[in-house]
Amino acid sequence: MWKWIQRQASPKVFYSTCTRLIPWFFWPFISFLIIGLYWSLVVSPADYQQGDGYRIIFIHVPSAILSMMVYAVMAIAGGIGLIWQIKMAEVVAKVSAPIGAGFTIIALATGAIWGKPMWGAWWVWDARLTSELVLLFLYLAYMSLNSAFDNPKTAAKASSILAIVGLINLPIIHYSVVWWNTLHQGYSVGTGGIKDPDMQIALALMFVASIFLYALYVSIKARTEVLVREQNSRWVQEEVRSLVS
Amino acid sequence: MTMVEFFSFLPYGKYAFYVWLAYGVSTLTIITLFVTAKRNHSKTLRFLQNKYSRS
Amino acid sequence: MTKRQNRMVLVGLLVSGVFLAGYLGIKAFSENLLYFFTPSDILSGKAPTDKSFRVGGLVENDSVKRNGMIVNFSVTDNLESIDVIYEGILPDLFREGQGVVASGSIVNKCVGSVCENTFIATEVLAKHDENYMPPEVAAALESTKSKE
Repeated sequence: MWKWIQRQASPKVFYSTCTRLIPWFFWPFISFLIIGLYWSLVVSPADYQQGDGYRIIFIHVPSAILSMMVYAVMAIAGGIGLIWQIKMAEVVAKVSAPIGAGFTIIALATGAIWGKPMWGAWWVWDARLTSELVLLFLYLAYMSLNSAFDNPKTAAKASSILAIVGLINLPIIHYSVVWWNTLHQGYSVGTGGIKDPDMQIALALMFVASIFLYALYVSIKARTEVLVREQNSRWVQEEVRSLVS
Repeated sequence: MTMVEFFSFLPYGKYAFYVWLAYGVSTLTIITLFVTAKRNHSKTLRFLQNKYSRS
Repeated sequence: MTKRQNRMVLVGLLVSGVFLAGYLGIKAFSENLLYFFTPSDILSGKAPTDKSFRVGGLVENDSVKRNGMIVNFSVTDNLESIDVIYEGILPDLFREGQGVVASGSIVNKCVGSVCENTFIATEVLAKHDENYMPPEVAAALESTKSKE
């Protein structure tokens, strides 16, 4: 296993691993998504307080968790790139940013759509919502910093430092509902807040689907990125020729 | 309020507008990510092919 | 020290520096990050008196009195409570026992020598809890609670 991971540091090996893994991420994603949606929208009962309005939770919570997990992966991969100068770690960090930003946008948008009927407001400036918005800005800053340099090495260095600095925001988001009074409710996951087993299953299915979605998008985007970075090497030339013809 | 009333024929009644809007926005975001990734890939392939054929 | 260890130390310093700065920053700005004050905070003088702020807590049972569009109710944190007056549309989830956050300011209403704080709200938002369950489970939980 360790040997296998070490071999992924080679762009050519990493490229072909991504190619091979795509169907292994795509089909589980589709299966978990379909069963998860069925469980979320049909099997799960209505909530005692919020009726059917609570069903937004099945997208909102997985995408909020993923928005933070992807950021952590991005910062750690960036750190590995800084310390061991592994180029493929830089690739994973770089392609994770737009995916993480996507999850953050979904979390913010579904939260706003949920807030309107339940709280009575689309948006409030409480600590939870504000820190999640800061996360979106961190992703955007990372992406623009990364594209600001022509040399991929300098770009990776500068943006990885930004990603590591921004790590401080993750515990702030997580504990914001504990440390401060917020309009956002406390944790539902891991505290027994979700009392119905069907609701728990639906949430777990959607969470697993989100993880496969992230892995799928990383492997799709990493292939493009590797081709760009290694465009002067022999195997990329052959690969491009074989793909186009 | 008219939007909420208009969509109340869908499942989930008075919350239909909000629930389906949330699921719709999420689907759109995921599809947009996919389309940009695919477009980037084919753009890169075209660019590289041009580059190699010139040399 | 090799070059790699050097970089490792640098990244480690970066991480710990950021977390220290974050900790200090949060400590310094903690007050400003509070979205609302509880009735206990207000009665112990922690809330501002000169500008508007938010009060949060549960709507006290049997305290809601409607008079047209004007609603009177009390917000409690189970220790202290404060009277609130609001004119306008309330969110769907507003009911007795429900969490609410009201924004507005406090006025002192004095009748003779007895002065009472009343909160004039300009906006009332509902705050729901982190529990999700079907109505039957909620009813079952409620009945076991009342048996105790």
